[in-house]
Amino acid sequence: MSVSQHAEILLKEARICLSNIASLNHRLNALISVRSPESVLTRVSDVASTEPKTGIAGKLFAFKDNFCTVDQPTTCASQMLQGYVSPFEATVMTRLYNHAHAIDVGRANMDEFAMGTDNIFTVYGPTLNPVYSSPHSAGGSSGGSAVAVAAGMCHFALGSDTGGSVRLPAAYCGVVGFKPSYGLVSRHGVIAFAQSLDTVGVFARDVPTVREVLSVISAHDPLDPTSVSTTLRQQLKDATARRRQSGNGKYKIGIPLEFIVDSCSSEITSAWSAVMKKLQAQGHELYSVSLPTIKSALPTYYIISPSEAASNLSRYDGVRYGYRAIVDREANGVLYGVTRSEGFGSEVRRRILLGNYNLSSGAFHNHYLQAQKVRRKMQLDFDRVFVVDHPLENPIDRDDRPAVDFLVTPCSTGTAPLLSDVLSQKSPLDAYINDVLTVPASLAGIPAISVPWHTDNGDVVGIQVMGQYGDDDRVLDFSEIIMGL
Amino acid sequence: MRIYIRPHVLRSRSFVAFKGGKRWTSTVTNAYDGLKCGVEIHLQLDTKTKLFSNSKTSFQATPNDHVSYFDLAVPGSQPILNKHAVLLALKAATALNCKIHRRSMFDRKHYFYADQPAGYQITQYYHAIATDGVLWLQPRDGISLGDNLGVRISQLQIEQDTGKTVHEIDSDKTYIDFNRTNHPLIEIVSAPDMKTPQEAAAFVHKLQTLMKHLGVSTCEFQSGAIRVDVNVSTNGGKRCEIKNLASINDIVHAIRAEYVRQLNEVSEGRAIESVTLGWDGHNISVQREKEGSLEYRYIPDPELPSLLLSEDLIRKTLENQPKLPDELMDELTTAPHGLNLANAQTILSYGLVDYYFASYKILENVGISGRLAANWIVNDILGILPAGGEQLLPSVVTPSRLTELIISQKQGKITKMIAMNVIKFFIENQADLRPASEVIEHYQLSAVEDDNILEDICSDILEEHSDLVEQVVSGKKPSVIKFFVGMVMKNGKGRFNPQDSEAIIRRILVARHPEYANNPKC
Repeated sequence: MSVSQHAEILLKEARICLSNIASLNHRLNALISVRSPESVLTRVSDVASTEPKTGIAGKLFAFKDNFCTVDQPTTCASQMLQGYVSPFEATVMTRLYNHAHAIDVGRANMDEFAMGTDNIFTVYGPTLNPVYSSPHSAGGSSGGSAVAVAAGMCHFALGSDTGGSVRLPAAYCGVVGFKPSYGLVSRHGVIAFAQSLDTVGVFARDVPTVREVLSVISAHDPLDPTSVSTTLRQQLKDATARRRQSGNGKYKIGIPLEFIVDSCSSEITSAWSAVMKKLQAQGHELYSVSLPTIKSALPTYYIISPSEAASNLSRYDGVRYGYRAIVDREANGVLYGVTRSEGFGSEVRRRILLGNYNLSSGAFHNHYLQAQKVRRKMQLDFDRVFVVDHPLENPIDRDDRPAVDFLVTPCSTGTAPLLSDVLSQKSPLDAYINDVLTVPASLAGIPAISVPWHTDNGDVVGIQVMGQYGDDDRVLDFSEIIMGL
Repeated sequence: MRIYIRPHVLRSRSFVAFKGGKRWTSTVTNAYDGLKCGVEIHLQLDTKTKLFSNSKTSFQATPNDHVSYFDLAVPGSQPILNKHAVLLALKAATALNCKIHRRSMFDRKHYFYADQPAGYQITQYYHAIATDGVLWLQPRDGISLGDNLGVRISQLQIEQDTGKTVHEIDSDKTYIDFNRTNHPLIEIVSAPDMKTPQEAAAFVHKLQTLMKHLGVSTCEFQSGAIRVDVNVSTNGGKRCEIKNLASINDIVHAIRAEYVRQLNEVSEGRAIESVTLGWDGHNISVQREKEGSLEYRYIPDPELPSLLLSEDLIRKTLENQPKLPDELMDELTTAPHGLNLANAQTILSYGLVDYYFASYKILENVGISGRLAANWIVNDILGILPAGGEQLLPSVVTPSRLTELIISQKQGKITKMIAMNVIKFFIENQADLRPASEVIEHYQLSAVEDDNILEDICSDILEEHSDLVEQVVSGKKPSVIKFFVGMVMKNGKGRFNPQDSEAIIRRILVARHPEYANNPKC
């Protein structure tokens, strides 16, 4: 195809995206700030007039409001960062803008500081799920990014996944949502929630687009102390090539018993069995496996992540940047209290208090330390069920138990709930339970994806695939198989 | 700034302690019975850049000129460890005979304060890089005669420094300077092994000398490179902490005052509470009640991996350790050098040991006593240098240049005054690399052998000050002759030997005033 034909296609696609934004964003509230259509089209034609550098050159994307850029405020959907313009740009943004020549259409709505599961804890108002005509939850915390892709506002979107914040909204909105292995994509310039869990994730309508985006953003970043080294990346690449070559396209699939939870709705369980049946019919082998520590996954996550959040959010005091209350101290001179009470929303305040409690010397040994031990055990549980060895560990003794390539489970315990139900939830714990199926992969740092599945009844469900640490490419291979079922 | 401390200051015994106008004279004279001191020292490491970011370390730079995003806790910024800081910490720990832990971790210590942008300090709480060391004090370090004292080092950890808050006088504004934020520090915690204020002071001084010698830190109080807190307890009671002592003398006086305060509290029937105290130079005062209830919520930093040191690195650090001050002091004070303690300490504290050794060797090779170099350095040269000038000596007033001057003076070719002027010339004209002999030749500085010129000068001086001549000759003020000698030196621009000058002056005086020869006082 010639350059000009390619340009025509890009411009046509851009116009469609822009028209979707114009007609749908007002109701769906996916994007909290939108680029002017003229500027977008200008940039597309500029890029389109040159040889495409990457597969996503000239394509449009949205990004969650916790990725720092230098030309607009980065607010994390919080009062605390209203008007805050970062002095530096996130590494992934630089890579998308400069290396890939992708073009952004706007900043996506999110739960404040990435804490939430339904995209309702935001100063910009909730994001609505485009799959349903009546108001349904878009999922969170990267709800805006998922909706932007689902509603055709862009080709792909960036989100962040700490406990399921990419996979859950992807499941609710019927798009692909991928969380890579921890450390592959730079977090430099991504505003931190819980640094040992935060992972940059990608939304798209198909797996090849996800691959294209990853090829741009997955690279070693010397500015990120948790970035996987170039040596390890090469090792992983070589290992993937070997496995692909020696494989026959049929995989061993694990069904983890601990993911069969009572709270799963019938739509979910029937979708799950339908997928498994089709996979079996195609010649893949199914095994039942067990990861006992999964039962402790939710409390472990809700001890570790608020503790880290409380630490990471200590910096917001209004002194050097961000919101500062008009009267920022109480009469007895205690600084910061008023600023932080006014600047943070209710969910953020809740998690900070919970985190501080867990870290206080009375609770530390019983809560935080125990949680870290459970986390480590969970990683070992995963190592035992995967046939692929963990690249950073010694090979584990599997005791002759079955080992599989991937685990396939649901992403959520139900389809997207009604927004009214979510807003009227009595206890915050009801929302936390949503995370039970996604937090294990976050705690272990392994790659996990939500693949959209439409049941015969028309329900939209997310099927989760998890693989061993570093086995991202093959997880994507297998996801394509599921999408093709 | 000179950090040379004469040992006898540390050993002085008489003291008084003041408390709010009331003068407390302690009845204790020779012993501090029941006293136990421990010390916590923070040292700024002498690195070019900060601990977790690559902005430059600085002192008294324009506020906020050396600040990176991470220092300000800008959202999305991340720490990158400065390995040089780790190496310096490792050197320090090795010299203190510590157990080096191959695996240590970085933890966050949370508290809210304006000079702590992130709301936490990165330190090493759970697993520090080194523990269980010892620093040996000897009597020559300023402790009382007797056995050596081994002060145990409980822990040495790497941590971030904080920023500085500046309160505007007569205003409600407080300013924050973040230049110092994230400057690398090591905190050295000793066991309470010191039993007198002198021992505590000796420990701190010895630590300063050691760390300065290793290049770990400049160890200066004035720049805040060293900060000292002292823990004091009496008779097994609760310990109290005196924070931010600003000098070695302060350490001695503050501990004394606290000892007296604690004894006084007990004698008046009160129990010692664990408090934090401050020392303002005269008084000890309570700053904070009830320490120990601060909740720091320590958590290992989720972004920083464990610090893993190879066996190789640990071993090599020990192998490459230079000669430590104790060993050098032994060398300097014993044969063949045999310097006295004060001179040896001066040379060591100014970092001039190698310089002295090199000069010593050259002199000995030509049959001149090498110790002269030490005398010159300590008694003459250091006195004429500007602050910090001693750092220029090895490279500018090289051992070869120095020894040339010493040899020339010994041979009577130049006076010592000329030699000092030549040294000053070298320092001020560093581009001029000529040897001393050429400079002396060029500026015609060699001692004048011509007695006639000297005689004329002496004559002129005596005529100019004829009023004073009577004083000398009559025997009323015989030492005025030294004034004449000084004037001759000045007029003669140092080219004349003072001994020769004095001899000629006497001769002229005798010639003109015969009674002078008979005066028994002359």
